[in-house]
Amino acid sequence: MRDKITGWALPALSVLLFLAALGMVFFYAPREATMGDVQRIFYFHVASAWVGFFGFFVTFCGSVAYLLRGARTWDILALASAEVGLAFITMTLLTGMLWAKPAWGAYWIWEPRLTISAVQWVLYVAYSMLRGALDAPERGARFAAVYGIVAFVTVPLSWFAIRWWRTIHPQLLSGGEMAITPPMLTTLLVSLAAFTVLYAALLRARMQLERERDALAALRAAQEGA
Amino acid sequence: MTTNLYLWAAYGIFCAIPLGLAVSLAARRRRVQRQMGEEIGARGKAANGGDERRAPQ
Repeated sequence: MRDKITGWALPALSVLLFLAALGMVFFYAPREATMGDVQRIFYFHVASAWVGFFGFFVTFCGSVAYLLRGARTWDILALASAEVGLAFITMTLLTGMLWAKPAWGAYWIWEPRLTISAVQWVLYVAYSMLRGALDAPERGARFAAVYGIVAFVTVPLSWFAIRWWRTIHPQLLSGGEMAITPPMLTTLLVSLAAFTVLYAALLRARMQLERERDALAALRAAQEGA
Repeated sequence: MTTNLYLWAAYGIFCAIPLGLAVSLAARRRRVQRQMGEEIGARGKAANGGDERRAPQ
């Protein structure tokens, strides 16, 4: 019963929050003076980047826990979070390009933040492909866990890229101060909440899928053993 | 006007990718559940000696 309520509550809450955030982006947040309406991409772009990074952090934690404890649950958490995180980072990259064209005059510039983001995207695409390609489940899971830990290096690198190197990517925090007005910040926080709940709902669904796949594999193994 | 096109395209992506992932997950779960149903059906059939009318023991 509790499971059924959570099963509906999370997706329903994520849809409600997503619609609320959309409403705030278009009807509450003020029009930015320099960039105009295209600046509204920022709210969901930043939120999806943060949640994507968080997803990769969960993969990192799940991978470490799997190597330490060896429980399949941690492996499932790591792989599910990587897949969901990758979806969020894909959105971040695509919408960043759509913002960059009117703002910078080009869809893509090989500056530090964008270059690290591209490498990160390729690494996690490879991780997802690897998970589907490995035949020996336990060895594959251990290998994927090590990969998940190493690939996480791109997250702090991406985070600090705009602070360590000269880059044209905008900074939200500049000299300890927010570069946006209070209504903009509220809209960003609501967008962040919406994307976090959406991540949780998708992660839960992806983990359930993997558990059911395990149950099917066990059923087939029992059938073959009989 | 062109700027608005970029904005709408971006929000189209923000809606399409999570929705696409959710639909894909639901479809993959349905397929696994159907396969599980088939496996359980096949086991029941084998337990009954191939006679589907008998209840599994």
